[in-house]
Amino acid sequence: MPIPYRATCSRPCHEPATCIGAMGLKHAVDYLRRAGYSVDDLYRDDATRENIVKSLDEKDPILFFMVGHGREDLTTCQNLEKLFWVCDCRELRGRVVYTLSCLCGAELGPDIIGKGGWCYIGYSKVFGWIQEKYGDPLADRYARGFYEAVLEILYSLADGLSTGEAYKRSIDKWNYWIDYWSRQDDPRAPLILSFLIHDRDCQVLLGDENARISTPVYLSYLAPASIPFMVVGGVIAYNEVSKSWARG
Amino acid sequence: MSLEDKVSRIRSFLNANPAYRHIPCIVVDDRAISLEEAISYLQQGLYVDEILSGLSKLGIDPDWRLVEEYYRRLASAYPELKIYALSEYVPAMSPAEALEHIKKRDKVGEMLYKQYMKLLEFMRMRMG
Repeated sequence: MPIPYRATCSRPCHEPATCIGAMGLKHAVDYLRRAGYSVDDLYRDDATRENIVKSLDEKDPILFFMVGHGREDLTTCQNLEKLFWVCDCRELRGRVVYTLSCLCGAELGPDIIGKGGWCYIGYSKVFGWIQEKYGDPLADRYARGFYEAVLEILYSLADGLSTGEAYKRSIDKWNYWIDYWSRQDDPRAPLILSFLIHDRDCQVLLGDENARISTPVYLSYLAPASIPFMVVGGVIAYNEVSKSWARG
Repeated sequence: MSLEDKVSRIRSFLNANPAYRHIPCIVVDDRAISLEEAISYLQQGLYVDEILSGLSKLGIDPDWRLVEEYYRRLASAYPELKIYALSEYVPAMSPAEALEHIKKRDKVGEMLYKQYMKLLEFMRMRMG
């Protein structure tokens, strides 16, 4: 059973797009750690399939998140090594999964849920962004909006919100930046807007939108079901105490 | 609604959303024009029917000339910009490279074209 407050992150860096993505997700790694999560951060040459699967097996984290090139049916780690693909993603069973990859939300995401993944958030089409200079995307005036929307998902999960709430907050962030760039008198703004609208519209959530990474999967199902038993138990206990008082 | 009212509505939309000044969005006389140019033509009484019909079909009527014109402007004014993506087939490209894809009508060009059409549709809905 995946363990709450634990995460594994894959951050390959083998060409500019993955390296920028890795810099972006480093903010989430730091945020999760500050919030008390244990994060196995597999960066650059450590982001191999072998290391990632080993981390999932041994640490059994409730959250797996990653950046990497992807297509509809698979996603990759360092040097485009295949990481998870359709029909081979059982390691993600019971976990909350976020992939910052192109297209995976179309086939791989549904397969992750089909194989028992708890919740999946990703992108069903190409995920693209605009950047002025190579570096940390949060420090770039054009890339910042894209990565704030991405990071909002992970920050919200770290704060104890459900996947559905995290997803909605991220959409709100996309909308904020769409409004912001609509108001800019800059010939580059339409380019940025076209990508912001596109990325927002292809962000998908599959599986349980009540999943939380601070709660084990079984407790989230147990909690609502246990309420009638707690009420009945409370009434029985009250009656027993009342009787014993009456008996003196 | 009179022509003057329509012009005034477009103008107030552009004042509130200046980003859309820069978008080639209607083809008139075989030329892709922006809303600012459209206003100027409307005020002179030129191409009125074409412009009004084009405005009502923003993002619906497919026209590659619009997206080509926008990326041509970008490529000449901002060659240093980079478009990144997390897909195997196009990890990074400049506006000039994007324009080449659009001209070839290949997979990447098709993606950029669809995104542009979606932006025009978004603009039409925002204009109301």
